[in-house]
Amino acid sequence: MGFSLLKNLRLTQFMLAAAARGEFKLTQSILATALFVSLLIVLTVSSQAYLSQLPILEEIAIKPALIASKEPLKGIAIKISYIKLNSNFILILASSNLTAFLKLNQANIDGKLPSFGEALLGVKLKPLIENSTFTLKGLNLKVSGFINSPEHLSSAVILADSTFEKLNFSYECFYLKEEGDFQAFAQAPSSLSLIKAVASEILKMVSSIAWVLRSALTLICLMQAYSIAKESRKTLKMLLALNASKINLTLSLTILALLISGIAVALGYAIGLTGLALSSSALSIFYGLPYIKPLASYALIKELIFALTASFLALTILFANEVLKL
Amino acid sequence: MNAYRSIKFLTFILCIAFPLFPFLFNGAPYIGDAWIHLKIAEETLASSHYQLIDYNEKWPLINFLLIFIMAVTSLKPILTSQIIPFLAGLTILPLYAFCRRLKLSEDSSIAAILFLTFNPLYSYVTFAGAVMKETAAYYLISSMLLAIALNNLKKALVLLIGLGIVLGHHFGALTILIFFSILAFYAILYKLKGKELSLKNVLIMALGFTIVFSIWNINNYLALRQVFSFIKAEDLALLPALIILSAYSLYSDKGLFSARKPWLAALAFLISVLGLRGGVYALLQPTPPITIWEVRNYALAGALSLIGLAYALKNVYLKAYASASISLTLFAFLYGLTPIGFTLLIKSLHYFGLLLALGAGFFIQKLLKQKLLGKISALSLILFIIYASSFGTALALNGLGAYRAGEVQAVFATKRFIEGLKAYGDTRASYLLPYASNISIQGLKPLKSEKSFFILFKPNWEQGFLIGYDWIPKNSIITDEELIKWNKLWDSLYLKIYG
Repeated sequence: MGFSLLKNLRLTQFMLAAAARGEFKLTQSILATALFVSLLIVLTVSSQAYLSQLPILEEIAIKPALIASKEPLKGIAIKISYIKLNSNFILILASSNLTAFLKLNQANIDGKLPSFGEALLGVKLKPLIENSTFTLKGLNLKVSGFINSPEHLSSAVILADSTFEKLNFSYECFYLKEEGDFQAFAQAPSSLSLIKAVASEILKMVSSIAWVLRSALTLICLMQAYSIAKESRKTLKMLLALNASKINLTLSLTILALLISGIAVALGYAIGLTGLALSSSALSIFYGLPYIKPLASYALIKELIFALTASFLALTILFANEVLKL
Repeated sequence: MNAYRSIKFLTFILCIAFPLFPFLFNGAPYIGDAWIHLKIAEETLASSHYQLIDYNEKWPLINFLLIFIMAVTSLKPILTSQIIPFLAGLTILPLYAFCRRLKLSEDSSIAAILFLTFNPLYSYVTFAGAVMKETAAYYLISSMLLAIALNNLKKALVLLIGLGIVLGHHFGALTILIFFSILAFYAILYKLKGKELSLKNVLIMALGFTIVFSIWNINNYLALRQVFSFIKAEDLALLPALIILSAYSLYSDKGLFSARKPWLAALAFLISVLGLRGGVYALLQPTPPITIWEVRNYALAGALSLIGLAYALKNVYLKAYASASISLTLFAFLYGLTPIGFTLLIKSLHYFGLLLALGAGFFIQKLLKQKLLGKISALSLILFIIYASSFGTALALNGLGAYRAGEVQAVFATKRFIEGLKAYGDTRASYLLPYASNISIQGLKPLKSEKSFFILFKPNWEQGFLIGYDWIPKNSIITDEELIKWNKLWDSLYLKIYG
């Protein structure tokens, strides 16, 4: 067994050397396979990357989960003011029912609700804190905690009603309420449903195109494997003439198939990811579209495994067929 | 003939001394990192105890060098800091020797070191003249290229240089790690092809370096996760893609995508220009828009180095280095147009600059073969490159990154007044003040006059403020009308303190 393994290793080395010298004309085949792998990667990764931005679209779209009105509703009254700090507008909010207000906004906070002389700060305001205090209109307020999310409260200052009154801000009062039986506010069609429907349709289309590409990739793998197997015939005949067993030849060719597939898939991955990142970057610079970095996801890994398997199986089967024909 | 040799000698002296230029010009170390490292070195000497806690302590080569020089000489700390730019200047010696190993003539090799020193793409002096971790490891990068390319390769020497690089800086070490990985890949293929390249030696060196790199950097990364929080899974996916593409595109010597047509190098050059002068990054910088004359300078520098690379990339070591530096430059750009992306781009250009210099050497070699006209063209090109780079150098010497002796002296003079008090200032102040007077800077906003100080250096009232990598116009922080409300506590040519 040991002797056979050593013999097999030598045979594999010989095969690899022949391949590296260009005897099997691998370059074109590897490039063709890589090109299709890259198309599959681009499709999968770009759709995943754009889908990852969907929550932002949801945030941008009017999401009728929360209703704000100047008319008194059966909701929470919230006093809203603002200050300009460092060229940025900072929201100052106060309410007699801060617990309900934060719950309505699905806020995630670290710390406790502010009492008199305290402030609950959006997380982006952290750099403005000195010695655990935040200065507002000359009054030093003790920081009671931070609002980590949602985004629209990340630059806001939340105060207790009493603190707000002491600071004497000019303000407007709004009434907030959860979406429910409020009839006056309605969208037809709903932005959120529309985004979800469009995303779902795009996903379906992407999925169909991905299947077409996977089929094309399988076909290309078979064609390239056929071409490589044909090119290797002369070398295989010579090796058989030199007393190499068919089993050893098949094993060596299997290792060669794995390496060729690995290189083709790695190259496809490289072309796909680089091409996608470069084109997205160019679109971002020249057309102002957001730069979407290729996303590393399970879908990407699945496509890579599929491509590797398809290429490896096609090569192994056609190599084995070639050996059997000899 | 003697005059010719003297000119060559003077060229070497100029290239070695050029990184010292910011110090000679301004009388103080270049960029704020200098103060951090000087403080670490002084504290270590005083306590005889070195800590590996902070980011600037985790890659200790620069600190060790400063401690060593301080311990064996009685020079002032500010003077000892210049060992770092001096060592960066020495980068040209291994580079020259490497060029000679690549069979470049003496004159072409000198052209290469001149191109490195007077690189028109980016201001070399802002890197080589700076007292920072990466600069301290730069001469080791060119030494590594030389050591690898030596006929009687000494593995121990390579690993020793590698250890220096790993202890020097993470980005430099990453460049060499990628270089070794690609070299190992090429070595396997060369071995299969029957070409001469010692696979065993390359694999031993690559493995040795990878082990040292991984142990040191993974350990540091885990300790400094907060500092490196900008690295995401998608970045870890993108970098290998660029390495594979770059290595594959330079492997072959024939065809449309081959070492003879290094398209990716050209792309890297273009995006470097776009990144540096295209205003595409989300950063404010006090630089005027690109002019047609700058475009001419870039076009000429690009043509010179990129055409040269088409001839240069026959050598396998150079191919591996080119793949590493190109992939890192592309990665830096594709990381995103954020301040961190800009930092990465600048870092990658230090290594890409070495490659372009080698390309320029090969181009000049070709020109010099064209008798008299070629020689005149080569000389004109070199002189033009020096001229073209002078604008960037001048900007850097007078920019917000440079400190002046007057500023340092003024800060030391005010030390006893402000020590222990709260002060406001920009990034420049936040580096210098903790070194000079043991006070910490609160940043710039919101400014409060009550029991606090506002520190302005000369460039602040002339050019504006530096906050991180962002340049902020003075009036965005404080107008003259607002400033009048503060009491002027110190007023000198270089420093004003309001309180």
